Amino acid sequence: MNEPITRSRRGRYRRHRGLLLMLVPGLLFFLIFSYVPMTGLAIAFKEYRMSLGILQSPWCGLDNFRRLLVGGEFLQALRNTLLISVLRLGFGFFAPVILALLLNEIRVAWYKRTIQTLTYMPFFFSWVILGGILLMLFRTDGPINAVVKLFGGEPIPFLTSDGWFLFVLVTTGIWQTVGYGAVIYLAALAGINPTLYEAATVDGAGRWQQTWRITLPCLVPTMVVLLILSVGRFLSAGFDQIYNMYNPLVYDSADIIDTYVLRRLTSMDFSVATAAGMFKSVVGMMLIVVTNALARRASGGEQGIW
Amino acid sequence: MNWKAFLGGLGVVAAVAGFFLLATPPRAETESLLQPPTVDWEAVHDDPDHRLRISLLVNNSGREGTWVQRQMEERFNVEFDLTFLPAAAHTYRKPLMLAGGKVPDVFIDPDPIEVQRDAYHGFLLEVPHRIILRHAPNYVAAVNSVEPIGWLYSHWRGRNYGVPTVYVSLLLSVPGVWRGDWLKAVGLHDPADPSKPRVPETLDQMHEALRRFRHNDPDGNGRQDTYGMSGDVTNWWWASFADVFGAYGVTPFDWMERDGRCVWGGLLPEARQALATLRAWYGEGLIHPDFVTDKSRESLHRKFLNGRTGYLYYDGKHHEFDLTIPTSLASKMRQLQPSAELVCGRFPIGPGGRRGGRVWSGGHVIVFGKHLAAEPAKVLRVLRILDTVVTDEELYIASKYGQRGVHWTWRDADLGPGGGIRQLPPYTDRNQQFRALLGEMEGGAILSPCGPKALLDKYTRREELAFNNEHRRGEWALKDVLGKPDVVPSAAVKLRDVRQFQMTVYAEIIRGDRPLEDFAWFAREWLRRGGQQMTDEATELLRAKKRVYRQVGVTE
Repeated sequence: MNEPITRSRRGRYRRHRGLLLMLVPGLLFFLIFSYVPMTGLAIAFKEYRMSLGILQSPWCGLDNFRRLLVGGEFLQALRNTLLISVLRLGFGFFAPVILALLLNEIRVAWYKRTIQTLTYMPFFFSWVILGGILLMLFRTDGPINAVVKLFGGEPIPFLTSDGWFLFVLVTTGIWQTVGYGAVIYLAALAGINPTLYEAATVDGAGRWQQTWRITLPCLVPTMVVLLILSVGRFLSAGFDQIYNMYNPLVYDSADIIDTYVLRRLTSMDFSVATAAGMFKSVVGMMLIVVTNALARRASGGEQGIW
Repeated sequence: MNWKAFLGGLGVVAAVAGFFLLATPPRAETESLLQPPTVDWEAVHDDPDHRLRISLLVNNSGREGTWVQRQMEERFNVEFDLTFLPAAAHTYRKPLMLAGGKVPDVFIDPDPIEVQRDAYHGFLLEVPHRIILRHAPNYVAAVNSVEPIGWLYSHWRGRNYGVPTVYVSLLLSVPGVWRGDWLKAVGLHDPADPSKPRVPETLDQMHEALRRFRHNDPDGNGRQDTYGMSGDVTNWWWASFADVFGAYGVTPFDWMERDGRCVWGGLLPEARQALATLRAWYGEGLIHPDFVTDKSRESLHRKFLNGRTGYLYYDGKHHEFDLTIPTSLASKMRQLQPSAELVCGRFPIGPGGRRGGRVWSGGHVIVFGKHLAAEPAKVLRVLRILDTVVTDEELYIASKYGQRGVHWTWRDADLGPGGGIRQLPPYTDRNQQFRALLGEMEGGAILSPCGPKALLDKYTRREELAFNNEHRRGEWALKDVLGKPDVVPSAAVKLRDVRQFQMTVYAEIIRGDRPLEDFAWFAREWLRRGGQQMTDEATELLRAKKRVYRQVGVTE
């Protein structure tokens, strides 16, 4: 009974040998750069001494996690991270969908291309540059406040009040990524079978109804995948952006896990930094699993990334 | 879910964890590995005729094989193997370098926090005080005569891990710079000579000048777009508003001594008074509202150079007024606002008659890799180099400025040393200096630290000495009683967080976002967030300081 299966399996391997070989570099990449470094997580449970190396350093149980949770700074960073991520997800998730739908309705090719280029351009700038520009735009005597003053308003403390700073973070974050996110949805839109629209037109559906009944349902699988992926990054609230834009007045609301980890790392406090990083990864992993399960359950097993 | 795959993954994790469990030696064994190796120093002998190869980390960019390097190699019969690590990369790349197993024989830890971390991670060789005293008595005397506090930087858990350096000029306080033309434009003339501005001497006069800068249109453009002064938060803890805090005799981000105990300056009632003053000034619009979002001294400079502010703290150094130096403040101002007149200020006198500003005390620490326990003669050779550099005047200059006639010459041939030293092109350029391993009076690239003050004064221009006596007197220098705030052991874990917290609360109080009464809450909270532990350690260090000083022969 076993014999023929083995033979046929071996035969399958032989038949796809070319494809399997092509997999090797990718697998090696993940093995070397993702899986092997993961063993370094052992540092989180050790009293790591650099001269002894990871293997020789003594174990310390959960001491590092205890230090993390006792300090107060980490918990605050965690709270801030969650708040910023919720805001980003809540306001930012649908932005690329809407942009893609709008772009899809434009029939003038050059106009569409121009808008598309303009919206995804910010994605290619580093936050070091964007941060500098935005800090200048939003400062008390900057151009945006000049406009506010023109209309008789009081200058808005965009960068120095906690609430406004979150507003700036979230809106500029969306602004930076919306164009790039829309590209993915545009690709999905291009894949929708045109006969669906033709049939709908014959049935007398207007543009609004077509969008509602055909376009959006066809985008749902893409949206679900992107949602699961962005939920996995939930505890990375955008280090580059925050690090380049925050200041002492908003530390209380903008100090996130990653800025906390950076402070620990520059003090060569590797064990606690690793513990914080590991906490982040484990929570991210759990969120992905849970979201995926929910997506599968809601769609009757049709959607989800596995 | 695919249970088979899940269990497989779990198996891999368990296998890796098991491997780590088995590979980690028992705790007792690692403790012994971490014990600093003991060297029988009495038996160590350094034969000068024996050529040694010493690897050295230079905290700057540069290149090998320069004139300076060859001089030092020939003189001391060594061969240097140099690695260059510019200051900006130091924090991030040095730990990687050490963890990667590339520990140099000799390197320089800029701050006590790094000495402690390096010692904790087991990279450093203990060098007892008596050995340093025996083999480099002149160097120790030079350090002790300038600022012996550095001996605390090399001290960790009762052991000494290196040789501290000093910087003479960092011990001089740095006052602010005023726009003289603005002072005159708002009617503040020197009573004795009306062609000159009246530079504020007291905090009240300073307040009045800043107030007029804001309200009396000093640049005459008809708009209210000028401010008195600004600050920057990145360097706040050592450079912003320290003149105002100094007028109340306090350094808010440093350890101070009160009744034999250490206290954090920022919690003292004097700090509250200074905050009240700054808060009032901010309320009157005298401080630029963006002081809290500006992240560099450069943006602070830009406001001053662009005529937005009329007072710039922490630039009152002699060379900043030198128009022959293209990077000086005066040269930059000349380019941007040719009509501007810069005058150096003096520290404002506070209501209690006090004045001054924070200074850095002590320098860095020259440390030795632990592996030198096998070759301790290298340590003795380095000590001999240090001792010779500060006693041999010719070598002192050559190891820092290079060859006379090639790299440098006298600024004034008739005056000689008293006229000061001038670099020759192309070594006037900073990058060319780095490449040729040239330094300055207070430090060369290759084991050439600062010497005694008398030696430095001899090579300083008379005008500069007069300037310093007028604007940067030693008595106005406010020092951390432990030298640097990060010298306490738990600073590595706590200091950044509480410093960040302090800056937030201070900024909120100054801007009026938070009532001044919250200062009491701040003081409690600061202690609760780890400050109490640091304070206890600081008081303990204050006692250790006396012991350490005795060991290196400092008489207080």
